Amino acid sequence: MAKYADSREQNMEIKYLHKIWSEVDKKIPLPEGLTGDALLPRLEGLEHPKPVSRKIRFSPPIFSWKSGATYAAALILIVALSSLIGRGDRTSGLIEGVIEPEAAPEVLSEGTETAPREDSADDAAVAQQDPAGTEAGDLDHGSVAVQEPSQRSEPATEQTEQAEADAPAVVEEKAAIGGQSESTLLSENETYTYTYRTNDMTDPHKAGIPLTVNIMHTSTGVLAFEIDLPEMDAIVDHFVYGETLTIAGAAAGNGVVLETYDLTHIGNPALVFTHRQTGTYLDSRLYKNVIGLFTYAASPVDPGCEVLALQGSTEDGMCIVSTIDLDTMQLEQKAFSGASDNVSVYNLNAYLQYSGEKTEENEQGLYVAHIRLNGVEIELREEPEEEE
Amino acid sequence: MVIDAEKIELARLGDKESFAQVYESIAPDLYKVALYTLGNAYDAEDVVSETFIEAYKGITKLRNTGSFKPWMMKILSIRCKRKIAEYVKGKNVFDIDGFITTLPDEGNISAEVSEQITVMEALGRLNPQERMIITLSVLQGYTTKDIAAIMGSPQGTISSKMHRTFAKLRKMLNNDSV
Repeated sequence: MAKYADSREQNMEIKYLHKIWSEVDKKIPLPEGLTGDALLPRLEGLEHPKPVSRKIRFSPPIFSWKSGATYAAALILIVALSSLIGRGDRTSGLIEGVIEPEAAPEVLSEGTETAPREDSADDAAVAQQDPAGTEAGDLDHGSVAVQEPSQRSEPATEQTEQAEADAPAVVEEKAAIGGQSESTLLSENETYTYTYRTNDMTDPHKAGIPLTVNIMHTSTGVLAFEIDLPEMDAIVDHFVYGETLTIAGAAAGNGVVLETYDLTHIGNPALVFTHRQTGTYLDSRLYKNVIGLFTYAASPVDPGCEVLALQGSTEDGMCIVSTIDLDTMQLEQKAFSGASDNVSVYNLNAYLQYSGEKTEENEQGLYVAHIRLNGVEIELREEPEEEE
Repeated sequence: MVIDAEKIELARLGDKESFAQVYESIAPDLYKVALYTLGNAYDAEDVVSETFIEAYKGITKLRNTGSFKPWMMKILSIRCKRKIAEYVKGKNVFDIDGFITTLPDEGNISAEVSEQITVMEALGRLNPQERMIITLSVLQGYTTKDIAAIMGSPQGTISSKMHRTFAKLRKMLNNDSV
């Protein structure tokens, strides 16, 4: 087998895997039961909902109260954006910062001019194809719609042409805000919409702050507040509970940071709880008022953390589990030595899969440890319970 | 692969045959993603047929014909998640014989097939979610952003999971190649 070395770049790994894997892949036939003809009879009797007509959706009576409210919201948004762009030092500083060749050579360089145009075209195409941010309606929330990979690389498609036509304006807009990329939707409810964005390190107002969370009023789209996250390189999960917003992120350097903000006074969110945990992020969940956070660490865990050994394990890693009660901010933490980084997390239970000693009963040496999360209590159960 | 936009429009209007035809153009990809994720043909067939029906019910919500395939992938991803949740205690059986269908007699395995078996065995040791991420990335060519949208997870989560999964694969394949 070809050497699979650490020094290979990830794209080389993908190419390598693709080469081997596609040989297997192309020999897998589609089962006869999954052809279109075979499945067609299963649609018999299904009611087909009336398609959503865009003409109907976008041509309400012009002066109805609904359209009036929409226009008012749009007007407020435009005014707010205009005032932000026109706000003295910051904007002018940003524009100056960006048009400097050192700050954004790719924008000014002739040879690389097409790069941001393509990015912007892609952004515009995404926005154009799914202005509502999701296609699947009642399915899981999707922050963006996705294009077919093959279509993304076809400049001749109608969407891309349209997007390219819009591209210069988008590039200019990005330059005006210091090269910050577009926001990613975290979640929204009736009151607030939560998004985050990565900051451009050339932005003098956000230097050293990798991420910023924006909280906007859902009804108007007006920005209510920004929360800068200097401690995080990437957001891995977030939870909205009552009047609090908790963000879990990969800490700069190592570990996971969890920060809880009290949003009672939305104009001035207060950081009420911070928790740092060793290891790489595995999973997290919010159940009722308790957050569960799971990380994997190869090294010893934080001092003071109770360590439990998994029976018969031959692994040398640790799974660290923390629970935080968002009502009382009580924290419990336990570490399980001999764990792998394979964990399945549910509301009340988590299952750690790990390799252990091979026995006659367990020839493969695969074990599963059952962790019960009872409120903030973390309990290791030796034998997993039978499924109810 | 070209998906017939006209047929998707007809499907949106309720034409079942057109829907079946556009579905069939992406059915092999849907099936394989489900197969690699869930590890066995029975569950994969289940989720693909459920996806077919679910998609037909919701086809009117599809606003852009160009995103038909990722939209279907998203429905498939949700179905796969539900199937995985049913396993509860880590049923993670990766039926390698179902993938390598042309195994020669024992003792006469070519280097090429041996390599394929090694990669499939390594995939089998990943958990279903990791396999889905890797399949969407390596075989289907989706970006991290696309995969995050398909799987309904934050992009940062997918990015870190993909990084970890590649590291695991690298470790496993290194050990096997020694």
